[in-house]
Amino acid sequence: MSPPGDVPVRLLKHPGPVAARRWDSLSCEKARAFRFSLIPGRSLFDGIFNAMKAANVSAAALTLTGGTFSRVDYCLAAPRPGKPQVAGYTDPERMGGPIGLIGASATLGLDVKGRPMVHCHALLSKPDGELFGGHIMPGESIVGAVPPVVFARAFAGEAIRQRYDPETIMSLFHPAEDGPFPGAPHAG
Amino acid sequence: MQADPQDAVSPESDVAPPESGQTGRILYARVRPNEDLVQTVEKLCLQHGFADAVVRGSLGSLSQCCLELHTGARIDVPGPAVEMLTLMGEVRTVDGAPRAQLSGTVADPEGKIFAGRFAAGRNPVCITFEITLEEWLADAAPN
Repeated sequence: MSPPGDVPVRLLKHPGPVAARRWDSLSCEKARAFRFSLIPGRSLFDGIFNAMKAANVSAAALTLTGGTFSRVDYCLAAPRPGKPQVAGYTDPERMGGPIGLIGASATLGLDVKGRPMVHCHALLSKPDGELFGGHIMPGESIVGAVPPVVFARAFAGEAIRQRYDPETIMSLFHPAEDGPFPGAPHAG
Repeated sequence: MQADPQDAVSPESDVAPPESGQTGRILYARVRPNEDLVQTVEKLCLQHGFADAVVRGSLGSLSQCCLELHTGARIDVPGPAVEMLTLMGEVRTVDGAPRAQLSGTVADPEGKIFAGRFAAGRNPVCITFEITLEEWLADAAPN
């Protein structure tokens, strides 16, 4: 066994063709900023979606801190034996509350069908202070009595969209290729 | 009796004033598999002309993870998929080269949590990584 900190870096072979461009990015001259609280008793998705809809925002990078959840459904990335993807999500686990939110990052964008979608990873605390976390199911995770605070930076138009990624054969958030294109069919 | 922290402050003349400035542009990127997290953050700053930047959002997975601890030791978290939970950090350009210093927490496939600073060149993206960086525009230093 290699000493800690010295294992070789092993790259993974994904099922699809390797894209020549290794990242997609967009930059924005003036990103509007927002602060709001999630809504006790409502889902994580509900709180983000409603606040951003009220501000006419459909693409944003958000950070969340503090507050509680009464229930969190989450999953981890794990190998998927027998499946072509190199990794997928485990079946969701449900953690009962009260759960403390230590920190989280989220992206708001549009899914492959053009509907609002939230992708969120969080570090959370059980009642005894033990940490856990992962990919949070935004529609199934319910805000507790103390609402987490959200800071959002909004991108203009439909800047972030979920697209099918031929390399990993998964549908993932990407910067939109042509900026706002309402009603246009999505790539992939 | 506790010492008054005021008794221990450095003389004002010894301390450089804080860097003042303002935030500028903001960028969002999706990074593809096998690219190194730390070096790609630096490359994004080169591409977009961000000399200095602050991490404003991040989520994704690494196929394996190497963290530098405060002791100087490094730990390897095996994958094949390690979930990023939180990430904080900045990019500073020194002598023309951007350098990202990124710290955070990750969960291994069994859900065990690790924390530390991400070692450059040793944190390949698994499926995807989304990162948001905000430009930091420092004012010219007073003479």
